[in-house]
Amino acid sequence: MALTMTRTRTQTALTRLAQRVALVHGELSYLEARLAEEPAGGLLERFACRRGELLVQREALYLTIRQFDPELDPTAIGEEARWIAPWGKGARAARRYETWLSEPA
Amino acid sequence: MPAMRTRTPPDLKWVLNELAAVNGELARVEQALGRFQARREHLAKTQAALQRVATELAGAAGASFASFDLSVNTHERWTGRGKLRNCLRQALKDAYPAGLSTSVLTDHVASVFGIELPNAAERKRLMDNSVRSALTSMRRRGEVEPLHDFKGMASRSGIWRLYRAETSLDELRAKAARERG
Repeated sequence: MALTMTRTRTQTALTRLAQRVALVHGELSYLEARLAEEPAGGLLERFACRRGELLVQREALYLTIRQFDPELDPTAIGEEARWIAPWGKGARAARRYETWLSEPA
Repeated sequence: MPAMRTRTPPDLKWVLNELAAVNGELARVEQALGRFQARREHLAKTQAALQRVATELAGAAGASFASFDLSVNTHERWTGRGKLRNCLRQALKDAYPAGLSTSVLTDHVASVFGIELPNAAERKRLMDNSVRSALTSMRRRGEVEPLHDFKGMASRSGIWRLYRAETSLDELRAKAARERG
């Protein structure tokens, strides 16, 4: 890949960045709902830890989008439910995701 | 009786003048340093964010950017110094004796440099910040001349033409003589 000097911004690049934000929003929303239920065991701590990571990631994506165009408001981007797709579908996917979170890194 | 005039000794006056000048310049430097410091902080923050997002995207795409020289002098956005002006010069030369509008020249520049303009605001930014600035600077150097006169005009679309000094009759005769002989 050659780096370009023109810093050309394309719609595709913006769309993909916005999709990433939507995925992070989706996962954050799920975690916040689960945290509100106050899960037992070490889950609470792991959810909170993952939430912290996602907040940092979200901030980095927000800054990236503002670098793309300072007039854009990334906080207005909605949530994407497909964030859970790597773990499958439905309730089983949620269980797999939570097991993945419980596993030591 | 006229009021008593006091006279500042010339050496004191000179020193005070110098002190005022140095104070003024120092204040300007401090102000600039403050701006640079703020800019530095903003750039460092943006750099960290872009680095994080790039690592994440590269991981998702199975790519690595470790071997790239990730430092580009962004002033050379036209692939080299003078490339934008050369492009404008050539377009105006091709159109001569007719002129071209700033808008047409903007589209030409975008197509030559492969710049995608996703929206009207982006196009306006290219036209205002790059194309028109280059044309204005070329005008100052006597390379192009504006054919527009905005006095009493509703439209603000400028027309530019390559500047060529009018040829005198003597020059035409000399040219004809050269061609004959």
